Amino acid sequence: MKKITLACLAFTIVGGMAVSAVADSLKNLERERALAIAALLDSTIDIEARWNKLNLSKARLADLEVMVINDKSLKNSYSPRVKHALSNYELTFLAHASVEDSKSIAAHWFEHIGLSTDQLMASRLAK
Amino acid sequence: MLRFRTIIMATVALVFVSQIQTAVAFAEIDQQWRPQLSEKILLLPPKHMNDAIEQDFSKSGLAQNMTSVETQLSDQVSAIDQLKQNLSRYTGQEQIEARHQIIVGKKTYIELLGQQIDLKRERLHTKLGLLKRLDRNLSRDTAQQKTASDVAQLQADAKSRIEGISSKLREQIALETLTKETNFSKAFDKNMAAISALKDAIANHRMQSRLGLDSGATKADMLRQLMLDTEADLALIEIETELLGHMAHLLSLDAMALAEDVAAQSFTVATKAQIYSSPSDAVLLFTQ
Repeated sequence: MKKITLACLAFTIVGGMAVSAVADSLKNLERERALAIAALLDSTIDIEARWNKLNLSKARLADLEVMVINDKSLKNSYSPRVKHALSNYELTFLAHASVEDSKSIAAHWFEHIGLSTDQLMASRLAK
Repeated sequence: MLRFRTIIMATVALVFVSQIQTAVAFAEIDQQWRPQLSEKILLLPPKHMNDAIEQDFSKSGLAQNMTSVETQLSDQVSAIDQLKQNLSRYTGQEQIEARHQIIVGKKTYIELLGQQIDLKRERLHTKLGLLKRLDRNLSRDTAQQKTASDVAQLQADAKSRIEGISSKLREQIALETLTKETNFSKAFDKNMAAISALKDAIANHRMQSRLGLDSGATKADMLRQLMLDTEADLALIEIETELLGHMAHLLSLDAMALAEDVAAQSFTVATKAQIYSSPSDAVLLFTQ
């Protein structure tokens, strides 16, 4: 009985390791992008620290975006999360899309979520 | 003790008989073609699919049976030819016997040919069944892949956009004083260069054109073409059956001719018919 329990435990651990070995490139990208946006919106840090953080994020995002577009496991995915992420190129692939747009990551992100200078200027205060 | 021995003897006899029956049953089963090919055949290049099917057939009992019948047919043709060549040497009863042997040989030939046609028909029906099964599986897979193809298309679009701008982004990152080029980036460039070189080598390989990988023919097209070819072969089998019918008709006429000749010969031998006198024969007796 003890042997069976140990065998089951070992099988579960090995199985868990096999599952955790599968890298989810899109999740990693989304995590890094969330950190970049968090740095962008962080009001407790000064401009230089934000600039440094965003530069580091940009290099990491560049790599992660390349990993996502080359991840063959995504092709067989039926997940709406994957489809939604790939449909929104401008917001998912922030590093590449911002360079394509000739803007910084911050300006590109603000513009695509509807927070550009023009849009803010055009807004009015309402109760 | 005697009873026990009888039981053992009966058991041994029963086991022996059952083994013989099993052997007979296996011999019957072996005459069939049960394709051992799985859906993995669809992974092969289109031009190799038919070769794989034919190779599977050649290993079957049906193929061995057909080869055996073909050998018998060939032997039969040689025997008939030999008899025909020697026919002029015989006379009388010997010639009748030789003609009889030719007719018997032709009858056996037609029976064997009919058997061969049945085996050919069985082979083609099995092949058609296999192709239809593969086609159904391919259609099911295609329907599943269609759902995933939307994601694949989106990924491909993103890839083409990123590849177009990637070098500019790298330049910008390299200009930043704080950030160094990452290990992934270096390894990625190296691997992509290697992949590109390999892709060029694949495109220029002489087997690439021979295999027809890029000829535009899809697996579904190839399967449909194979099914059409098999249907055409089945139609030819029907024509062969009709041909066999004409041969059998001609053989029956030959047999009738032989029977008539035999009857005529017997008639010639037997008929020393008595000629009875007629009044007209004796007219001269009276007129002179």
